Amino acid sequence: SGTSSQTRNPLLCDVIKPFPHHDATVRVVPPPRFLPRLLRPLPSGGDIAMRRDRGPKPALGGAGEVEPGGMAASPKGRPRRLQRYLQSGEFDQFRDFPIFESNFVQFCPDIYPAPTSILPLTSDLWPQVTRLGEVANEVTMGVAASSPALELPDLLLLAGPAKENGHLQLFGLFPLKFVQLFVHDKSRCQLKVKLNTSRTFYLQLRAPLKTQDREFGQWVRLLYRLHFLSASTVPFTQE
Amino acid sequence: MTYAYLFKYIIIGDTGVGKSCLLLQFTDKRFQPVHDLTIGVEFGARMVNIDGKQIKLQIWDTAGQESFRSITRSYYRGAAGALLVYDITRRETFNHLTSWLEDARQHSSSNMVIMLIGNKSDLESRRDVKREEGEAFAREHGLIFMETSAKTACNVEEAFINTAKEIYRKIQQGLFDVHNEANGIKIGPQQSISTSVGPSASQRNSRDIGSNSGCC
Repeated sequence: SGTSSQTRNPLLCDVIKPFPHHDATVRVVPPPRFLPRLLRPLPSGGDIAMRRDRGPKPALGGAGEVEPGGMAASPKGRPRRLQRYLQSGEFDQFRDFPIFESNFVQFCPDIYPAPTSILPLTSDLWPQVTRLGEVANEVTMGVAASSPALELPDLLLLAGPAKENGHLQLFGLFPLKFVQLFVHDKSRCQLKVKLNTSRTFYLQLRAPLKTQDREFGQWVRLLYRLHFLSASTVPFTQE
Repeated sequence: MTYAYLFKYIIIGDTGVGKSCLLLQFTDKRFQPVHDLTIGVEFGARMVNIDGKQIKLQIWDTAGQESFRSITRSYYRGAAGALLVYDITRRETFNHLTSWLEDARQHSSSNMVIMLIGNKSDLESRRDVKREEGEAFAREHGLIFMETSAKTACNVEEAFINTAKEIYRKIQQGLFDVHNEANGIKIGPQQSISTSVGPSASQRNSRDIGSNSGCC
């Protein structure tokens, strides 16, 4: 149309680059008093489902005591890419969300067991994260709490580079209660994300080798927290 | 790319009326007949040119299914424009408009511009809602009205852009406080209010489209 031009997002964030890893700490000890001990060795083989079926729960403690969802959204360190993007202000409602996020590469386990450079970025063989068909094999995924009063994160955010300019672009926001998260392959730092539609996709953590295991471990712990907290039948209430 | 304003839009309406298809047609100029159900919110963006100003439309495509509704309505807040969509081949989607409208009015700014869209106008043989009924509903509730086809792209551009024009007109008339982000309008980076508001008619961009291409 002569009335418009293609989207050229303003420079909202940096291109993907190594980032500090002291800024995303999952606190799991001590667990909330009503919870069982959360961390156990991962069973071997098969996907391990983590699903949040319950609604949000009240705050656990005072500000700064426990981060929402047991995740620290860089309370002291530098905000990561997705958080910086949201803080830039285009998504005003999400500006202050605490977020735990990582960069991933999407892969198709049936075709390639792990991300590979053989598959071009624009190949149709890549399963699509977004329903609208964007080529999105570079994915930033974050879990966020829509309110600081929440004990657990309640939202999943997916973002990736815009086709036009590579700048980060938010694709979707999904309530976590409609999402299942799995550890697909711990040794390869792979997660499986299943929306409660037919959409399923696989993500492999993209992080520096020396910190990769630690960062993936944070995801595993977070997934466990989501799982066990949602399984709790006694809601915790704050006086 | 810089822009003078960012307008937040929401697309609402029953499941299956074509909200995601409208977004895809507008942002990517293509039609995808089979879609997964939308859960939560999916986002699209495009720059448009209104009156010589670059305006970024940030579009929130919401889930239409009843089970998601209580969640998605919380994201109506801060929208400057809404596309309220029904399917002209399914009477019940038209009957539910009042409920969607109440939701939209309740959870967003009173100045929000609402465009009523009767989608799937390419399926004339299966039409179940007369165009006049859509027009009457829009007139009664103070909405703009268009029939569109996400499949053929008929009036899709116009629906989004005419909504933006109406928002822009309200800005110029001072009905929208652009400094109040609850109104769903943001001034673009490095834009000042003096440069953002109020171009004269002589500055009107010749590329602007008419109010209705009349293709449907």
